[in-house]
Order: sequence, then structure tokens, then C-alpha cells
Amino acid sequence: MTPRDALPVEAAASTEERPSRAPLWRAFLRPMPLAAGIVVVLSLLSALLAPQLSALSGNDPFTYHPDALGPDTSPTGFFGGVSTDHWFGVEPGTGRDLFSLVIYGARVSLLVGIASTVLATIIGVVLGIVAGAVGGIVEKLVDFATDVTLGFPFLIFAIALSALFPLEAPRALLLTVVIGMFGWPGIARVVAAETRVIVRQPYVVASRVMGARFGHVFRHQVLPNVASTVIVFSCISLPSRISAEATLSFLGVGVLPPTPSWGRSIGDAISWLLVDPAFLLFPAAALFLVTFSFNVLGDTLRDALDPRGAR
Amino acid sequence: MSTPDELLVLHDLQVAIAGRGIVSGLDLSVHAGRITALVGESGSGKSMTALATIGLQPRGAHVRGSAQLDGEELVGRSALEMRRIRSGRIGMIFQEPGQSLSPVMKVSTGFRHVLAVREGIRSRPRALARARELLVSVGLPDPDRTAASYPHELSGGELQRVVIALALSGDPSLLIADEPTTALDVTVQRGILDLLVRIVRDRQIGVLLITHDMGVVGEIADEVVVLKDGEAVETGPVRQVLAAPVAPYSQALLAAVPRLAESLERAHDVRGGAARSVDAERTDVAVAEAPDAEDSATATSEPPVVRVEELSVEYHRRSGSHLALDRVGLEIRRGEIHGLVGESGSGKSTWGKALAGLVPAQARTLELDGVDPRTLGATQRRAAYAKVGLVFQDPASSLNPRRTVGWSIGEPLQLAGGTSGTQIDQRVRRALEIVRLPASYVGRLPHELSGGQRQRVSIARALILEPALLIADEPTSALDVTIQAHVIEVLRDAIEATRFACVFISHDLAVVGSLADHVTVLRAGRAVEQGTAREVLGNPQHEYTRALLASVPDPERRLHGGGAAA
Repeated sequence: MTPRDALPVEAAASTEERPSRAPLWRAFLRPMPLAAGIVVVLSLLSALLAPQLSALSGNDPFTYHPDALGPDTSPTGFFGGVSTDHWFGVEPGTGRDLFSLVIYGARVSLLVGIASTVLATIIGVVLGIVAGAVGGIVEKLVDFATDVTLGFPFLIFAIALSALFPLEAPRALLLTVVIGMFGWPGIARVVAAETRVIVRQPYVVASRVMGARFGHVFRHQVLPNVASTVIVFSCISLPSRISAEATLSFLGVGVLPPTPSWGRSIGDAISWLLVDPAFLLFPAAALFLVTFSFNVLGDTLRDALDPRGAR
Repeated sequence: MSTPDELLVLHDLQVAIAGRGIVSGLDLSVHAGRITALVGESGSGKSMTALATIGLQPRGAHVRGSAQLDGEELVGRSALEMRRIRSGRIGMIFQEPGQSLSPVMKVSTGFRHVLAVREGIRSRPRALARARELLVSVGLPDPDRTAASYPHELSGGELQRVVIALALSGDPSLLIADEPTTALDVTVQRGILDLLVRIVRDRQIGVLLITHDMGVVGEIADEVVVLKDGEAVETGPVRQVLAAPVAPYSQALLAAVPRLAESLERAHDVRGGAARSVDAERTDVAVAEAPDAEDSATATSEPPVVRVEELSVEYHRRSGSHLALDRVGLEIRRGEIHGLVGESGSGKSTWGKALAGLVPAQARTLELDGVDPRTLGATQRRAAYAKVGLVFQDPASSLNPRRTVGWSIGEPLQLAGGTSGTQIDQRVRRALEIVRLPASYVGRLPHELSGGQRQRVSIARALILEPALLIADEPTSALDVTIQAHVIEVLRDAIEATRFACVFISHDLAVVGSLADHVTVLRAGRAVEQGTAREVLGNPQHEYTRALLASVPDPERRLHGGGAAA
């Protein structure tokens, strides 16, 4: 019917270069994301190498230095006792090295933050995909659970729970579980909404007609297509979980002394604010810089993965 | 250089985005009282031309050259001046009427906002009266009801008329219509085209019509500019370009338009050689239940792949139930293509879904390869439906965007199980060969392919299990005409090679005619006419079929008829 030779041969596209996409890492080379990346890498390094780093300054976070304190147990010297011995000064009352406290504090913050995010993400993704793909009564149940969790007074529950828990139990694990179990509704909602769209796409319908079971659809059709959303969402929610740990420690129901924690240091610093503002400054700055940097990285990742953000 | 009646003159118009030329040196003129068509395939730069002309090019696009409206230069004007010019002298009609109006506003509210800007009408009653006047002028029978409706309460055709009425407010001298009928059914398209012609004659305004459809061009345009990759390859009066196209690309575009007459000739030829008889099989709905003598002769040797009788599908909604299909039936043998034709909402896609087991259906008989899937257990039913291949309309969503082409094509084998990885590889390569794609494509991702290539991958996926039945739901309607011709070729060859039965769903009678052996014409869930393609399309009995046939745009209708053109 048609003179095929005369047609603009569409297959000619095959000889062309494959359309190339700007590599993902390029998005992270701009100043803000780069700085944020450096902060995150530094904080991860300090969490991993806390003993070595604090040893650099010749200190550890557990030794008391009463000689650095004045008679009112506030640090002697300039700005909370900043000196070549104690880079960030010392803790009022005990004389512990503040630099070592901040470095070690990264351990608890990042460990609990990342672990609880992983936990929340796994729960959220599984429940979200199941709700979105199966629909019906399952979807209603998940929706209900989401509403209940969202409406639950997290802080009160967390405080009550930590009071119930025996003191010998690993506090970091408890914090991870509590924060993780309350963190999944957001991601479940997002994933369920995306899944609902994806399972109506023709390629999933075709797959089902050809005999695909739920497992296949879950693994091959839905999961790869929600992956970028999940990564971005968990990156963006990570800072709020680090803050949640700090909040609980601030309130005195987080990790127990003498384990260093930013939140508890900030809590202690409140009572010394007028005498020794430096004690508040260093842990608070560390907490702010890390959460802010994770936020920047999450936003950058989202923009880089969003096809509409290309121009 | 512009003659008095030249309304819009583009001279050496160039548009570039990020240093890449989208439109390179386009000359074009629109005369008052005439329609100039800008024709090209997707990506040829035709919409960009229109947007650049009226200063709405996307951010980062550089426009050079000249565009003069009534002798007034438009390129390089400030945004404020362009806004004034657009509001008073240019009307614009877009492709998708459902997206041209705000869904949260009544039509009358939309009119009030537009009229305040374009005609300076502030008072409510005057705006309403003027809206009424405009709505009447675009042939809407009940302007008060239309004005009081929300967009979702109106049909596509009504919406497009409302959009045209909005574009006509302020008495513009130029109307830019960007694919005004592409999203509409053929019978509705016919009405809109007639309306455009009437507006042009009555109001003596100039129209820049942007379209990919040579049929539409042939129906209403006076001048044609054929655009390819941002360059005009041919310009001239419509008669000259359509009757004797000079540029090879124009010839190719014209040749790719499926034509009913050619389809019917082909149907004749094929029947002569094929082992099928079509004599006097002209029947109505009853054909499936009472195949005639000759057909039953072949039927005894080869049982039909699909046999459906009295198929009904009912959708239940909160507001009640809706009968999407009302006791329809069909029967398809190996190697046969059955075309389902109808407008949107006629139930043709539902029929395809019912055959694939995707919607619950009632039927007296429903047999796939001699078995009724309804009587089978879950596992066996899964196996029975695995013999059905599906090809969908939208190439963008037919393939998993995160999996390679090879994975998608091999997925049915993976699901069926029992095939080793290397065997799957081999069969994927063979399937790619059938759809004429290079084997190197296995490692590509869908976004690296063009629409036509993706559609061929979909066909390959549907074919790899050697299905008994292929259901193709509007597989070509999202594609350009030349690519559509390719895909149809591929489909036809594949059917000849593997001899599966095929249900081909389309709103385009000409496409169905060029491909199908049997045709069912659907309207509102009922089969109004059923029979061989030659009989139904060549000698339609039902008035609806005749109306459908008369609505198909034909590039040559006016050439033969010597109509209003020129």
C-alpha cells in the first residue's frame, strides 16, 4: 500500500548515538550540594573514626578534667575553655572534652537516624505497594493504620515507652525501633499513591494478562519504578529522624549517660546558657549542619532525578 | 513586501533552543479569509512556530527573523506589547479541549474573565449576553445550558466549540488552531472543520492551521506549508501540493495516509488469492451466530480461535449501572483480523478487555481456542489467558520504563517459566527480527526509542509466546502517519508469518479497512453492523456506518469534487 522506501526511514534512529543523559553526580558539583556533601562525609567519618579523631586532640569523652574548671565548675579560659588541649572547650560541671563529645555524638545521631530511616522505609514501601497494588480491603486497612499512626502522640508514647524499658536494654536499638515505627506512614502514603498509578499502566496490565503474579509485579514492575521516589523521600526524611533522636535525648529519654549525644549535650547546655554559651554552640551547630546538609542533598537528588527538572 | 490582504507574514523565522535549531528559516503567509495549513510530523517544529509567532515560546528559546501581523513586526516585542496584541487580535485553539478550560470554573465564568480582558466588558449581564452570542455563533444549540456547565459536563466536541468561541472573543483577525481536531472522534471532527470553514468565510479572518493530518488539510486548507525538521520542504496552494506534490517528503506523507478506497481495493485483491470466501456474507449482528455456508466449510477444518456470543459487560457505579457492551458476538479464525470500529465510548476497548479477561463479562459463549476460561481454575485460566497478546495505544506507557527492551519482550517467557536464559535471549532476538528492529536494541531502555519503535517492541512482546489471539487496542493512533504505515506493515507481516487471530480496535475506519478481514461497527455498546471489511466499508447498510464513512477526512475529496477550494 505504501511505498516504504520513500518513507523517512524511522529505523535510521538506530544508527544515531544513544541519547545520553547528564550523569547524576553532576548535579552534586554545584557549591551548595558540594558543601553539604562534604559535611555529610565528615560527619560519617567522625562517627566511624570517633576514637581516632578524639585521640588526635589527646582526649576522650569520658575523662573528667577538673583542672579545666573554675571554682563554680564553669570552664576557665576564653569561650568555654577553648585551648590547644580542648579544641571546643570542656563541658561545664565535669570538664569532659567537648570536641570528643561532639565527635562521639555523631555516632548515636547518625546510627539511630539512618537505621530508623531504613526501618521506616522498608515498612512504608512494603505496606504502600501492597496497599496500592492489591487495593480493596487491604488498602483500607493500611490507610487506617496510617491514620492511626499519624494521629498518635509520638512524643508521649516514646517517653512512656522508654520509662517502661529496663535500663540495661540497648537504648540505641530502642530509639531506632520507636522512631522507625512512627516514621513509615509518610512514605507508605507516597508509595501507595505512585503504585496505584503504576499498576494501571498498560505494561503492568499486559504483564498481568500474560500471567504475572503479585510477586513478579511487585519486584519487576512496581519496585523499580518507585525506587527513585523512595530514595529521595528517605533522604529528605532522614534529618527529621536525626532531630527526633536529639529531641528524645534532650528530654532525657534518649541514650543514657555517659554515652555522648548531641541532644543531651544541648539539653545540659540550656542550664549553662548564660555562663557558658559555647557549650550550647558546638553540639547545636553540629546537629544543625548535619540535618541541613542531608536536607540539601535530598533536595538535590530529587531535582536531579525529576525528569521535569531538566531545564 | 506584504500585500494588502496578507494578514500574517513569517519571513525567515528561526527558533533555536540551547543552540539547536528547532525552526530554521520558515516563510509563510496567512491571508484574511483563508486557511493556511502548516503540516508536519511530531517534532517538525510546527507548534513551536506558532508559539514563537505570538511570543509564547518556551523560556530559553531564541527567535530570529520576522513575523508581521498586518505589517506590524512581532518578533522582538516586549512581553507587555505582545500581550496587548494577543488579547486583541489573535485567537488560539489548542489540541486537547479538556485541558483548555479550567476544570473548577463554569464556562460562563471563563467567558467573563476572558471578555474582561479581550473586550473590556466588566458588567456581569453584558458578559453573559456576549458569551451567549459567541456560543450561538459556534453552533452550540443551547448556549444557556453550556454557559452554566462545568467543563467535565460537556462532551469533547462541545468543549472544543467553547474554546473556539473563546478564541473568537474580541474579534481577532488571526486564529491559530493547533491540531484542533486531533483529540476528537471523526464525526465530531467533521463538525468542527465545517465550523472553522464557516467562521473563516463569515468573518474574513485568517487561520493558521497546524496539523499532522493530510486529510484535514485536504478538507479545509487553502494554502499548505509542509514542514520537516524545522524547514519548509514545500509551499503552495492546496490543490497543487495534494495533487502533484514535488518534495519527496510531501509525497511520502500523502502516501502514508490510509485511504478507504485503497483499502477496499486491497481487500478485493487479498480475497481473490486467499482461501476465504466473502461472497454475500453481508449480514448484521447475527453473523457470529449464523456463519454462512462457505465459511462453515472452512470452519470445519479449522475451528475458530475466538468464539463469543451474546457478550455483555456492565459497569457498576455508585449512580447505577452502565451497559458498556450489549449482547455482541464475534468469531475469529487463525490468520484473520477482526476490526472493531467505533467512536470513543462505544465499548470497543471494553470488548478487547473482556476478551483478555480484564473486565468481568457475561456471555452465552466465550471460547478461547475451544475452551471457556470461565470454567477453568485459577492456574489454568492464567495459562489460557497467556495465549492472548496485548498491544496498547500509548507507546509511552506500554513498556516498563525501568527495564530494557530485551527484558520486556522476554517477560512473557519468564512468566511462563521453563525457558532458560539463553533460549529467552534467542527468542527475543527472533521476535525483534519479526518486527524489524536490530538485535542490538535488547539493551536499550524505552525512553531511548521513538514512539513507533516502542510500539513495535510491544508487538514483539505480544508475539513472543506465539499467541493464539492478539488484541491490538488503537496501536497506531498515537503515532505519526508515516510511522503508522510502518507499524501496520509490521503487524500485517507478522500475522502472515505466524497466523494468529487478531482483534484490531480503532476509531479510524481507513486503518481498519487497510488491515481487517472482518469489521464490526460499534455504537454505544451495540454492534450496528458486522461483516467482511469489503462489505461493511464498501456497501454500508446502517446509517451510522455511512455517517462514519462520510466523516473520514480525505485529502483528495475536494480535488475530485472540485469543491470550495482555491
